[in-house]
Amino acid sequence: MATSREPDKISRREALRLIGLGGAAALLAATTGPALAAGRRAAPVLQEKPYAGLTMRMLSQGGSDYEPGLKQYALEFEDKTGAKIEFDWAPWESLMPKVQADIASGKPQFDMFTNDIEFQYTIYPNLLPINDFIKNANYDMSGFFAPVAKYGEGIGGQPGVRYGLPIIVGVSVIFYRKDLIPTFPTTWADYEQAMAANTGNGKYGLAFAGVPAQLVKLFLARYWSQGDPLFTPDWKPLINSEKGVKALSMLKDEMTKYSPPGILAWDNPDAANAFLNGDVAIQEGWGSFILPSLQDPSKSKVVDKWAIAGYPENGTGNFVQHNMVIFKTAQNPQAAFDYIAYCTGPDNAKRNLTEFKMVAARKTPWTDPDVVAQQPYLPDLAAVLDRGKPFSPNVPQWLELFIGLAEQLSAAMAGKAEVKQALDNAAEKWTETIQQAPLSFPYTE
Amino acid sequence: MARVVEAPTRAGLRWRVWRGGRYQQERLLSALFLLPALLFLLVTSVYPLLYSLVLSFYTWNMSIPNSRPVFLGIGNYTGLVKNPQFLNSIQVTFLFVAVSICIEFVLGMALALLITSRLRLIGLLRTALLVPIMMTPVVAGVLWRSLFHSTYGVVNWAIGLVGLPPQEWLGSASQALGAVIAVEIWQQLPVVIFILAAGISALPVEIFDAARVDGATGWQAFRYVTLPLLKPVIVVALLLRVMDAFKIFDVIFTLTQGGPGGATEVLSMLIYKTGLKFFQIGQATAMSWVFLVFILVISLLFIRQLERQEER
Amino acid sequence: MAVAVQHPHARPFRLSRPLLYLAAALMAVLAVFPFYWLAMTSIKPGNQVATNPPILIPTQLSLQNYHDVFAVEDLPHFLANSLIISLASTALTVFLGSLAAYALAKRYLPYRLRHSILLWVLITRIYPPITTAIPYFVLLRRIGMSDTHQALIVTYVAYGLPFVIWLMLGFFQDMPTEIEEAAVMDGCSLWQRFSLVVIPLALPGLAVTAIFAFVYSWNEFLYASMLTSFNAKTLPVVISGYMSDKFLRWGEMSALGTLMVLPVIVFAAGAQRYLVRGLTFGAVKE
Repeated sequence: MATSREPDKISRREALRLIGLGGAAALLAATTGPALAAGRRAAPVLQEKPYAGLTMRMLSQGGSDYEPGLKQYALEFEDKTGAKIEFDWAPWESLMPKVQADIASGKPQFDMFTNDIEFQYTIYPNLLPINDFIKNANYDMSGFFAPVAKYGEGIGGQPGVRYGLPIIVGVSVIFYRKDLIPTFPTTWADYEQAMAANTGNGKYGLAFAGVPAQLVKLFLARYWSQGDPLFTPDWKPLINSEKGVKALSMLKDEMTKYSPPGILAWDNPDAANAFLNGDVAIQEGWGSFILPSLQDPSKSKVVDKWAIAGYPENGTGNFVQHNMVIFKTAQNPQAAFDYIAYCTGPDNAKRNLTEFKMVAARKTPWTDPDVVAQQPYLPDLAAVLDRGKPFSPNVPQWLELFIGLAEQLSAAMAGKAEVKQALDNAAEKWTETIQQAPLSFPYTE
Repeated sequence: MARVVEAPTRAGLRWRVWRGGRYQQERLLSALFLLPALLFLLVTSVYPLLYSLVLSFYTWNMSIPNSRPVFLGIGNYTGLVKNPQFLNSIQVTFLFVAVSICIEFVLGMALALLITSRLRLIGLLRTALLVPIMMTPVVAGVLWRSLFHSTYGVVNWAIGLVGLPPQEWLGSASQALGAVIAVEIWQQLPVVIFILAAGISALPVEIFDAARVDGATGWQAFRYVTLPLLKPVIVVALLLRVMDAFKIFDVIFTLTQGGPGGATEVLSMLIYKTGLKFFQIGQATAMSWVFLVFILVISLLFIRQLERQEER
Repeated sequence: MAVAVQHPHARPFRLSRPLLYLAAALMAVLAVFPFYWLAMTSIKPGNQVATNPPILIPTQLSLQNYHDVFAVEDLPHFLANSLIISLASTALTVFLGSLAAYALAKRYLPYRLRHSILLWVLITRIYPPITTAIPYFVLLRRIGMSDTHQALIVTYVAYGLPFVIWLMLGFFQDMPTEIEEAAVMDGCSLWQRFSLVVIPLALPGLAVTAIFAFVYSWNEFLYASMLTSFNAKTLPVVISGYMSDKFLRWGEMSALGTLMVLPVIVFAAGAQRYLVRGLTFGAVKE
């Protein structure tokens, strides 16, 4: 037994070390947590505040454009009204499961939620309609982009019912090199010409994010420009029509001829990088990703050489908007509404645009002269946004439709399926999905 | 006084124990040793697993407002057989597991021998091999995506140095799975190496001395002494690695999201998509249970191997 | 570091020394290069990250990414969470798992019972975690345990137990019985045999399992992101927050990813001393 004493001693010491480490860590957590929290909330106690003592919780997306803004507004709101707001900045992927599981548990822990409007298609029975709040507060609904207002209401086939106030918007936009393409083409044929002219010698005409989920907006732009909707009013898919085939073939063709190799593995940052490095003449993609870097010389080689355009021939790609919504189980719905009105209302609209650099949903400050002086591309971007159309409004299984289409597009682009076959598969999937829960209202775009 | 009691197995071990009472006491104690672990597993796995089994016989789309589970019988299971995505994912998963495990074990054995040898500075290699395991899989996925980038990636640059043309890697349906397997091997090979190395280092040296005295060559010693002695460790390592390989998720999620065109859509990605994105709970749980039964069968084969060990 | 065990005849082929050194060096480079790339990316200025040809040795350095990471509110809190949860779950997993493995390796309980327990333990490890994510989350919310450290610790221990049990089972079965018989003759109880004799001999196995249990708990993100909001939020949740369908903050991600490896290195360096230990079987013959 003598020889086994030594290893025994070591392992006990190791164990003690571990316990000590764990204890130190616990101590650290115990002290820093409250200390940081206390440091943040150093609001002086003034006279009677309407919501003093109330703590509301909001679930939202970490790293989003509006995170700094909402946090700042929460502090100001607390100063004014005494209501504290706690945020859960969750990773985007976990938002839907979290919301669903929260609702399923029967004891929802959040008062408010901020993210894509598509969430509302699914969770609206648990949300509070805010039409009355808007009326009572005389909240100005007139200053938003057209698609925001149009598609923000009528959720779940209930005409005029609104659950959320919009904070940011987005749409697929074309960024192009104005030094290489002096006037932006207005037809698809000319567009392809421009790509062709700029392909060669290691440079390419077109870059985009080619991972499955990002292909949809590119397809939509080419499809919608031909005039057809995605469904007939009685929910029969139209994407596998001739026009659909034409749109997808066009995209595949352009990729084969004018895009860098391996682009089907590229995500948004990769496409943006290609444009920022000056390796491609045109990039189709989300504005919010690339805009902050374009004029920054430490990140961009194309400072002052770029411009924004919309798709040729009335094409438009997938308009998105993030809304702030209130759950039915909120502790104090009025307080919640006051907060979201504060964030999205006309008073702070300009700050959203300039101070927090959001692609703000309220259009009015976009034409402000000093704002335009600071961000001269705004009018072009506004024009593209105004034309936007969202994907599959009001369908609860919108994500299944979206991914179902995305995968078939990816299969076609990767050469694993013929274009027509892929679109037929997608249409079949769509029909199957819709049939699981047929909707009582007709499809409109 | 001591009474020899033969334990009720075929192993023929003899334990000298005291009167029956002491034996019973130790028996109880060993059951107590087992209890905490079993309790943990019971509480955290049994309920959710059984619940998911029950749900697999229902159809329920949680994303449809006000929906409730509707009994379906074995409809979800029969639907899977006809589901091309499910069949594709089974194929992809199998290919993935088979290729990665083979490479991992062959290379792993070789490297395990290397790091238990007496080379100088081998400790450096040991520490270096720890690095891939330690990286957060999510980060590793994004990192390797940038390494495999067709234009800016280091992999294409490196193969360019030896004259090979740049490849599409993750952008090509035919190469994507290979790239994913490479990343998996990079991250998990050290696991195998360390388990095997720990096993090797626990082997008694006298046996090798005896083999040397008997005139065995290196290869003979390896084949007739090392390998057989290592069998329990190898089998357990294989079992654990196979189970984990089947479940791979984080890395593929950030590397390819299952694309392009479903070329890297392994079963866990499909289950994730069906269950946590589309909220088709019935289908997702049915898929998981098919998956589970399947791996269980494979694991039983391994367990049988281990039992043969115990009988010796 | 302990002296490496020498098995001169365990190696199948007599390769020349230089060749072995070359192989070892190559393996080391392949293992470490991606991490090097990650670390370099985190300190490169933005426009040097995606270039053709890739910049292997950066000419300019920038700490902007680290600055952005530390600007995350409450980062020390999340770091503390990760540490507490990982250390606690590792300790519990290794301890409870080896206890259980020992009980299963000895022949006190009936063969059938041991066999079915082992099978059951295996089953809990087979299924992908996403299978039970939602029911598990709902269960935790109903008993009031969501967003607590305990919830994650329990989850990670449950995940790690099968691994520890199966691995340590292999080690315990491998162990020659003469040592334990000697201990029994010396009058040791079961617990004494376990803690004073068997465990020290199984240190390599324990070291392996401790490392893997720690790494798993440290890096796990699916359950962490679902089960925590703020109080128990861990670093992997912060990292996955840098990705969404519209952005990928690769700069911050690489910085935090680099930082996250450091505690693991510390832990693993400490534990891997026991991975390859000296000769002790000789003690039996004495």
